Amino acid sequence: MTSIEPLRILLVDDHALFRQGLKSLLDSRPNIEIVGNAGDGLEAIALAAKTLPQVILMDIDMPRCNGLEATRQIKRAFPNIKIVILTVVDDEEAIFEAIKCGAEGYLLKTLEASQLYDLLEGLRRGEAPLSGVIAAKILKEFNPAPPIHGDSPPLVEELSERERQVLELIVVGKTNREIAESLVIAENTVKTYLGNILAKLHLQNRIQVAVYAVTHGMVQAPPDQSD
Amino acid sequence: MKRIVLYSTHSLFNEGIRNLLDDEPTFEVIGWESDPDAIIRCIQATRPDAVVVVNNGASDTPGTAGIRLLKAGQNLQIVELYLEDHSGYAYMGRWLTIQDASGLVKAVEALVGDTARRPF
Repeated sequence: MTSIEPLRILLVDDHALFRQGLKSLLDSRPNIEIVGNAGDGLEAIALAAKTLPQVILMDIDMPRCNGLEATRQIKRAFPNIKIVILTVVDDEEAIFEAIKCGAEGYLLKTLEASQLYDLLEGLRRGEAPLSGVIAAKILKEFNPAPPIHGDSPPLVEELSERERQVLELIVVGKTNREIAESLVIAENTVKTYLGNILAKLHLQNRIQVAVYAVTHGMVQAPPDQSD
Repeated sequence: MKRIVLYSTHSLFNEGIRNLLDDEPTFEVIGWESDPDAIIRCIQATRPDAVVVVNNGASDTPGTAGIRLLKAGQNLQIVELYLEDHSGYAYMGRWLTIQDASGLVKAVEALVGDTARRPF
């Protein structure tokens, strides 16, 4: 029997009260280790280098250096550290900037602790933590033209039929487990297909895959559930 | 033991604060809600000594106003916590800066410390 290594997390938020509360919640989980906490982006950059966490939960609005700039700098120096934005900010500009900076996920503070635990477990499996409202905003923003039948971009041709099916389910926000259930295949097989898709499209994570697929007309954007 | 309920539209904040206050031997968090109607029902049902209201901006105003109305003529104490910048501020007849959990605990203790709970 193999034990799961704790997920090493760095917390970054300018409100000490929020940090302490979040730490208190996550400390109670046996598979999570909080390796440090920072009150602004500069502290985050320094602590990331010092503690080398697997995951950073990053606020956006902070003094001295905001979370987006900190994300950009940390990802440049430590591309393997996964950064998940955790914020009250849900405007499109911040969301897209976060993705450009390399964030693997974008969560709102309105989510419940149990949802956060599930999303962090998903992150361990290679999934992208994304609040449902945020996913819809990302995809709606691009508002792609309907795909023209028989006139797909060249990259689409490289995807197999199965990879296309996985891609369509990624775009509507399905987790690997849900995709496996939908297609009646193993979760590890889904991961393999996802890896193939990332490689063929030269992308880094499933958020980028979803955005790419919609902007290139490979699939239709799902309806915005926040309206 | 002072009985506390929490209200914030940010569920994650609610749950974190609940954990922190629950660790205090003199407090018992008996409810927490992120919906303005639900917090009113919670206060009516549980009759707490105090409610900690995290005010995140204009969208929280209806909830805060409802609690104020509920307080009228009652013995309910309110700690309004504003998170306007990197500090928190509590209004309890005067402004207090809340830097961290211990600051919040002191504020709540100061508010409800000598208050005997009376029925609505």
